[in-house]
Amino acid sequence: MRQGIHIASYVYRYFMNKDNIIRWKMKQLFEVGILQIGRIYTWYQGLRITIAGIYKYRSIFTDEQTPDITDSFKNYGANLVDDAFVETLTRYKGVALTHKLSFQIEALGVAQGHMMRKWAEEDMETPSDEMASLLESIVPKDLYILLNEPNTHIA
Amino acid sequence: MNEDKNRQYHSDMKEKIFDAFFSLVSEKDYIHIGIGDICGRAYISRPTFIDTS
Repeated sequence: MRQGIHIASYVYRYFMNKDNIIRWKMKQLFEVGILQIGRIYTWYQGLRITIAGIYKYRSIFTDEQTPDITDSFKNYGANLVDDAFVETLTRYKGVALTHKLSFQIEALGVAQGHMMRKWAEEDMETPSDEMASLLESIVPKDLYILLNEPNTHIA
Repeated sequence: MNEDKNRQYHSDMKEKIFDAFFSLVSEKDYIHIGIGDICGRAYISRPTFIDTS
């Protein structure tokens, strides 16, 4: 059966609302940068790619009318990173997930997510390169060493 | 192959919609941007009918 549909439906096929459009881009920016740390990028490289992408679209990510979006840095972004780092450690590095590493990953997600949200709330005044470097500086030592050397093959 | 093409097509569509939305944000308040505006900006020229069977 063929059925005519309004052109707007094409947008709804991909996104339920405007917030979803922004979240999709945020997820994409995380996936190409931070989530690749330990796989194809070092900490700084991965952070820099994601942060530079967010900075490029700062008019969306810093809009005061989208507080839920800036809050996503803290919640959604952090969860995304947690899962990716656990997978990178266990599958790509063949490292057993200890309680200490698990704690560090969770704490890092909270800290980086919080600072990224703060950065957005301050209209991203800190240049993206410097922001990536600052976020790199708070990575716990154990985690830093384990993931700073990229490993593209599954262990 | 077709699956790859299909995935790429949908990814391109999402990118196109985002680009349209992003360009609108610099012109008007977020709250006043409607789906119709985004469609208009994205110049989505697609078939009038889709197969829903």
